Amino acid sequence: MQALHFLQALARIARAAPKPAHSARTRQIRHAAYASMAHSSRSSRRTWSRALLHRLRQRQRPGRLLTVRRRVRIVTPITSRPEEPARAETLRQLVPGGRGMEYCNLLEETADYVQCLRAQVQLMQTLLDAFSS
Amino acid sequence: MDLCESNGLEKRNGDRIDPQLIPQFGAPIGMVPVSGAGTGTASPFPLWPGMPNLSNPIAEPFNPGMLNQSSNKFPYSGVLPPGLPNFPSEPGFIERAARLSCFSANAGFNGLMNNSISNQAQKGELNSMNIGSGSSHGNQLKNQGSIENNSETNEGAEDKISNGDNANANGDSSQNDSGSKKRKRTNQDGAMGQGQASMKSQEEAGKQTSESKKEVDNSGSKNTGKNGKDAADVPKGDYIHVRARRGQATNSHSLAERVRREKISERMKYLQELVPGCSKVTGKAVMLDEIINYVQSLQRQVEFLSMKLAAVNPRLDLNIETLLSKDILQGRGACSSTVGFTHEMFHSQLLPSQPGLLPPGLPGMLNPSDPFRRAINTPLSAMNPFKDPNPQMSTTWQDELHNVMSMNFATNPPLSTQEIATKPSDGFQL
Repeated sequence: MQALHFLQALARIARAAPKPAHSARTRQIRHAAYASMAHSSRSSRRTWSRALLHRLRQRQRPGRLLTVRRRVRIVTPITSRPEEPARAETLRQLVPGGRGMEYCNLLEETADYVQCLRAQVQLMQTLLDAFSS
Repeated sequence: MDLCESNGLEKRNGDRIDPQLIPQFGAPIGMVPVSGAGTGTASPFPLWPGMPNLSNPIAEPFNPGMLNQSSNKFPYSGVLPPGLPNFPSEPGFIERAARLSCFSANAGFNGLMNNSISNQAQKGELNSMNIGSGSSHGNQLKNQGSIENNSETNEGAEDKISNGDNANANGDSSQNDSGSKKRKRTNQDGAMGQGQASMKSQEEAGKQTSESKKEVDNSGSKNTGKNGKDAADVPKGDYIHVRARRGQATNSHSLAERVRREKISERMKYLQELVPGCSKVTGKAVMLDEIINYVQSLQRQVEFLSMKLAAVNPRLDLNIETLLSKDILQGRGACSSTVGFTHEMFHSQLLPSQPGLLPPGLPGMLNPSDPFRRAINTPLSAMNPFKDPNPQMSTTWQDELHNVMSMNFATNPPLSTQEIATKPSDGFQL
C-alpha cells in the first residue's frame, strides 16, 4: 500500500508537464514519500500519521498557515515530566505529533514510525537502483 | 478429620480456600495417588465454586495412569496422611488451581492435577504426562504446563513451597502464608513472564481479597494483559488487577508507576529490536540516544534518496508506469487501468511462451522489472495475496499486448496515469 501510493505519486510528479527545478522536484518527492508513509495501512491508525498528514497539508497551503495552526493540546505540560530521560524532547521533535503524547505512547509511536521509515527508505533505494541500472 | 485439618489449613491460609467446598471433596478423588488418603488433596480443590465435577470424572482417567507407575514415584503418598508438613504445598496448588480454574473446569483439573503431581513427585517421570495434558488445554494451561515442566521454574515455584521437594522443609514456609503468596508471585513473575499478569488478575478475581488493586486502562496495548483477559472471568470489569509485591508500597500511585514503568521498559525492548545494533546497548539513556540517531539517519536518508530520485526523474515516466501496472496487478488484481501497461507483465509471463512478441525496445526494461517486483513486494509483504489472478489475466492481455505494440508508448501512458491518479486517496495533493 505504501509502495503503491508512492509509485503513483512519483508517476504524477514525473508527468508534470513543465519540468520543475531540481529542488522543487526534490521537495515534491519528499512530500510524496512522507504522504505514502502516512497512508500505509499499518500506520493509518497511528497518531504520527495523522500529525504527519496535517503537517504536509499545512505546508501545501501556505496561505492558510496562520489560521490552521492550533495550539498543541496540553495533555501534560511538556517541561514537567521528570521521569523522562533528557533526550525525550528531541525524540518528540523528531516523531511527528510527538509533542502531545506521553512518554509511554511516544515510544510506541516511535517504533511504528521507525518501521515505516525503514520501509520507505528501502523502497526508494530499490527504485533508485532499478531506475539507474 | 481430613476435612478438619484441611479446614484448619485453610483458615491459616486466610481467605484463599472456601470451606464450603470441602465437603465435596470428602469423597476420594483422583488425587488419591498423590496422597493415598486424600488428606492433603482435599484442600487444593475447594477453591472453585464453579467446579462441581471434581470427583469422579477426573479421577478415572487419572487413576490408571497414576497407578501404573510404581508407588515409589509418589513419595508423598505416605507422608501426606500425617498431613501437616505437606499442607504448605497446597498454596501452590491453590494458586495454580485458581489460575487454571478460570480456563475450564475439568480441563483445568486435569492440568492441575498433573501439575501438582509433577511438583510433588519426581519431575522427570511426570513431565511427559504434564506435557500431554498441558497441550490439550490451550494457551494458559500450556503456559502452566510448560512452566511446570521447566525445572528451574518448578524450583522457583516450589521454592517457598517445598524447598526442593523436601516434605519437611515445607513446614517452614507454611507459616508465612501471605508472604509466601507474594513471594511466589514475584518468583513466578520472573519465571513466567508475560502470562503472569493475566494469572494475577484471575487470582484476584477469584479470591476476592481486599488487597490493593490497581485499575489500569484496559484498552492499553499492554501485551501481558491480553493473554488472560479473554479467558479470565474478571467480574470487576475493565481493570487489570495488579498485586503489590512483597516489600513494596501498596499505594495506588506506586502501583500505577510500576505498571507504567513496565510498559515503558517493554516498549524500549521492542525498540531495541527494531534499531539495528542495539542489542548490546543497555540502559535507557544510551538506548534513547541510539533511537534518536537512527530516526535522524533514516530521515536524512529519505531526503537524500528523494534528491537522487529527482535527478533520475526524466527517465521515470515509462518505468514507473510499468512498475505501477505490475504493482496494481499484484496488489489488487485490478486490470482496468492497466490497458496500456501490460507489456511488462507479458514479458514476465509470456516470455517463455511467446518470444516473438518482444518489441525491440522493451527488453531493456526487463532487468529492472524483476528486482523491482521483488523490491516492491518486500515492503508490501502484507499485500500480496493476489498472485494467482495473473495467469488468468494473461489471455486478455494478449489482445492488449497487440494494441500496445501497435500504439505509441508515449501516447498511452499519460491516459492511464490519469485513471490511476484519480484513484488514490484524498490526502495526497500536488
